[in-house]
Amino acid sequence: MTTTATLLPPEFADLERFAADWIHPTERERNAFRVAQSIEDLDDYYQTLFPRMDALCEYIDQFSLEAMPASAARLLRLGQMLMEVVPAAEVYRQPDVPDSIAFDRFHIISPDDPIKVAEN
Amino acid sequence: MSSSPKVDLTPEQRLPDWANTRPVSDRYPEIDMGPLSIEPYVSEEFFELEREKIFKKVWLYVGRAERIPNPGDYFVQEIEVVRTKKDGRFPTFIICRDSNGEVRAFHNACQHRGTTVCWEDHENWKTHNRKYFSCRFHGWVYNTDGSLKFVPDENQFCNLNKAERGLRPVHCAVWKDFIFINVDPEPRQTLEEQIKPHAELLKDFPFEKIRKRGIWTATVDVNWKVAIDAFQEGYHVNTVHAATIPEAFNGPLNPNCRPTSIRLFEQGNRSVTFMVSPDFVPPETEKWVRQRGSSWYAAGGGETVNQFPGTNPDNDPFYAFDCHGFFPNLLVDPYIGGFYGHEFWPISVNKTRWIGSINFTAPEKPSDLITHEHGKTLLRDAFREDTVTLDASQVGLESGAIETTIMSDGEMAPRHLYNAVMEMVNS
Repeated sequence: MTTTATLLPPEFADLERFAADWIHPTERERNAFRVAQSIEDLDDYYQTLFPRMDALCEYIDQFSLEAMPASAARLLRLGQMLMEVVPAAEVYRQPDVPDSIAFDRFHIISPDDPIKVAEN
Repeated sequence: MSSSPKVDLTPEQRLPDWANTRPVSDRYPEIDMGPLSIEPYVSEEFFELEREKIFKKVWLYVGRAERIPNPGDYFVQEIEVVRTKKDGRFPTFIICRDSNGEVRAFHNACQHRGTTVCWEDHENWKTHNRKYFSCRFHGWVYNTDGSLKFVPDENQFCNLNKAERGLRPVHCAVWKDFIFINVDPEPRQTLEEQIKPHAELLKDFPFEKIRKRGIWTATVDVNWKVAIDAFQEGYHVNTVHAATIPEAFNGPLNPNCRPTSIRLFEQGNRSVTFMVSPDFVPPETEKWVRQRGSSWYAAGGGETVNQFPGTNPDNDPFYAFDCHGFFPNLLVDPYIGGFYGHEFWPISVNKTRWIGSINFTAPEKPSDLITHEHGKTLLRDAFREDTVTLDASQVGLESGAIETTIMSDGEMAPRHLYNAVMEMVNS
């Protein structure tokens, strides 16, 4: 019998299907990923993640910003990706901002998140 | 709708009497409300005067001290507009914290033969750290306070006075962690004098607890003043932001997103307050974010509007955020829980480097990074809309089809900036 390694805590097995592709550590990468998806895929992500957000926050808030287990940090990234997806899914109804400056002229240089991820 | 229980007035009564007055220009009757020549937006000669009489004379914001927290931390800042020649190369500056913890600024030029000392890309927003600055050309070594420490093969120089060959300092001053420099060898006033009205309004704002979380930049083909003006009035919100924040600010009470109050100060400084619509029903996720903490315009009027120190100077009842226009090229926009802001760096008469940013109260727990990401994303996407108008404005201004612009009461901040620039250029 083989077991598949999971990237998320067992309580969040229902989100495991997003773990391979939807976890990105920076705003720049999350935004680039969002605009490359279809609105159907963004809707699927939004509809799956949003009902789980209270549980997700409760789980990650067990840890301090200075010592986050890797699996909790992945959950944090999934939560941040939801916030990236939200305006597209809730308001624009398309992946990128309508009537906006060209994507490649607008540079996201936001600082890294102030967290430390424990090796595991 | 939430409203303050202390004030027994209808929502309409608690807003300016827009039906019968133009509240800003009525308050400042000395200001000519007529059309404005477009020359300052399109003339290369005018731009040269701005470079000489404004940007090379005043204090310019270059970054937050939080970016260089430790001794030896530094970043390199290119400032195109203070170049020495009209078509000259863009000078760079070293902004650092020296080994004693003091913030300093230097011209980034080796005092041996002039070579750039620190070659880091100024646009990557990284902080670097060095014990010494060492020139890559011949290895001259400077301390972080700028003094010349070591010259290879020193005894082969005649008349080398090392005390006179330190990095050339630039006047540098810090207000509430905002670092400003002034390239004038003899600044005509202190930073405190230049920013006095803002420093008074913001004296209690807890900048020290707030951290930069989002930074975005774009080089736009537009005059720097046109770029600033797009961010210091609300008249555009109904149209430009129709896709991202269609009803957050401009609801039934204020359909054209007029500022609820504007304060004009000497030397081009100005401060504008905007309201949220109390009728705005936020999308589901925003409701969730508001329950957990705050968004960047979460107030929505009511009892919370005056609870964040340094915000809402005129006690506007449906307070959203203030826009403090620091002359010449900085906007600082505090709101309940943080501030966002803009820098506008002129490159040529019709090219500007824009930097937008958002700053939140420092996160205390991991989920704060999620709620912050919500406000960050909304604001960034709204800035994608703001910046798309800029090139189009300049194309029209340069087309020959328009000689003057006309600005309304709610566009008094752009008019005030324009008038201050004219005054300094003509002085």
